[in-house]
Amino acid sequence: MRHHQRLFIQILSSAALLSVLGGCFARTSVEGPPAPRRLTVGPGKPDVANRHLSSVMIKASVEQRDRSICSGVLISPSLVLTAGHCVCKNGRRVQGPNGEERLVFNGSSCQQRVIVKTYVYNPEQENLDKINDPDDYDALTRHYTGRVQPHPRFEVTLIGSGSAAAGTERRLDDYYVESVRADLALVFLTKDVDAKIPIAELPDDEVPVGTRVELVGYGVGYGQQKPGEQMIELRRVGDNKVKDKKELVQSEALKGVLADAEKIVFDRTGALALGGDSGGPCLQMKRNAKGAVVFSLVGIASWSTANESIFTSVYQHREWLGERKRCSRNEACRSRVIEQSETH
Amino acid sequence: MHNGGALPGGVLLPLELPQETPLVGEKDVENRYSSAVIVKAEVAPGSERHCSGVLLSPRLVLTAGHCVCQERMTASPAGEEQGLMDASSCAKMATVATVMLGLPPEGVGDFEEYDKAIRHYQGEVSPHPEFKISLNSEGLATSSHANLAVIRLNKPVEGRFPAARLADTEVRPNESIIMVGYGHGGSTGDNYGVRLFGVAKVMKATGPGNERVMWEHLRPNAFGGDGGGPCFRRLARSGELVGISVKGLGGQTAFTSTYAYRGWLLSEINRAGRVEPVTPSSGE
Repeated sequence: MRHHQRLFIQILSSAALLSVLGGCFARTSVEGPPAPRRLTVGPGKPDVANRHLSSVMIKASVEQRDRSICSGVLISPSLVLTAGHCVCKNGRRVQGPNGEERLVFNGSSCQQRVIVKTYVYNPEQENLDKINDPDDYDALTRHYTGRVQPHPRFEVTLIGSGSAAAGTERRLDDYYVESVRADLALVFLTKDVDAKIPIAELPDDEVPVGTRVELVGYGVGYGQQKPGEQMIELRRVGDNKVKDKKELVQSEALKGVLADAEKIVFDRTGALALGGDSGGPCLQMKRNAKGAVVFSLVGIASWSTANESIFTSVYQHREWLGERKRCSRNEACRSRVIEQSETH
Repeated sequence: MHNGGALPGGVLLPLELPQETPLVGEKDVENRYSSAVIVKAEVAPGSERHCSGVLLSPRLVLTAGHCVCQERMTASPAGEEQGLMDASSCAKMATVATVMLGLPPEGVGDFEEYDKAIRHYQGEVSPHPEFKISLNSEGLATSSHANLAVIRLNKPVEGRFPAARLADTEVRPNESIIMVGYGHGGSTGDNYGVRLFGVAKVMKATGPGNERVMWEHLRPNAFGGDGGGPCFRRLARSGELVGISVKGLGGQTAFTSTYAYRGWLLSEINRAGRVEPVTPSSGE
């Protein structure tokens, strides 16, 4: 543990923040799987051990002054994977033949650029277990910007419930999910993140039901906080096991969403993704050929109810992701993505 | 109620955060005033006060007494209720945070974003023995004396955070000063840890020993300091401390002269310096 502390101190000890950021991020050496423990819905616990530095926070659009946050994960030093619905929020209303109203989000609903933030915490901070305000954690935060590229087949369709009163616009709450497809988007960063920030690996195979994974995100944490004082903008990690889709309650609302092979589901026997955790990863701890701990990316948080979380399988999109990852490491290819004309 | 929850059908939404008030003042992205720190103290159960302070040594922080002490009601000689703050009603411990600030390597649109390295420390609060503020029913100070407190940190701050130097001479009317602090005294989220500064001008000194120095803004929208935050002499070597802002006591543009309390401050610095240094760990 002294190792962590030393690295953190080094970061903080330079007069010129930016010059040091290139040097020495705290990096945790992960020892074995997390101890089994009783979990409740939601928050997991703060990742002050820096186990998941590859998980980043995604902030809003740089063009609009909205302040929404999502989560994401680095799959190369200059490429972040998140949920399509996090960065493609300008849905289009479509009137159906029978008067039903749909709200459609796809590749033409996306923002151009977003902010990506990396967070490094200090495992040796005093009184860590007594902190109840996210600001009170020692943290090194760094910002990057990047260009959004949604999955080519990304589409979320919501359908209006009941009939909206004449002349009024339906609120988002009045829609149900009809379908969710390829809820993924990439963010091509204009520069690499610090070399010491690890990268999540793309998976070699689909995870079987029952696999233990870790869910990571910067969204809402329930807990002892009072209303309005949730632990947001703090990286949290919780565990869960991949659940068999057949075992979930097959409500009408769920059917359309679960039809795809690309969905990975969790129930509330473990941690779930909550608002703001959208786009965050679930990761499987593995050992590479040298015996070192690596995290294999299993899924990206797409949606949740109070009882289950649905993630988009990364394995099912591995070809697209592999190709885009190579592009992010090729300067010419990456520049083309970043400098695309501002119109679609 | 945040709207980041699930829709009836369950789509996870991005979490919408409330708008933040833009910070007013110059941002200290060059870390010229990194001796200025955040100070947080729970002055009463569940009541945390956010202020600024300044490092006088790696283990000693100076702030305003009103930042770390709680008002209590007493009867005035005339029998009226009045508020009183003194050394008997202060928080035992306070949290101090050092901040290194940097601009992201490129513009991030119309957002104001800063790279930050923030580190927190705990320390023991010790107000000036003569600290005393009387407040009227509106919470405005009717008299104020020795509005200073030091925080003795459990361990020295790590990194290059040069301590402020005490000024050798009192400020004079018309001198330019720099007010430094962390805006709003309690910004959270993105604004937390953004250190601000602004130029002001000394007007006149009042009170016993001229301990209260009035100042005025040099231009509109200049940063007006934060409770407990340092005031530096502008045209001297950087870090020459002349006062501690009293902001938070009824909107007065004044600071407590540190020159007037130089003796006490020097003895506190001396005392903090005598603390046994932490033995470096061996074997590495």
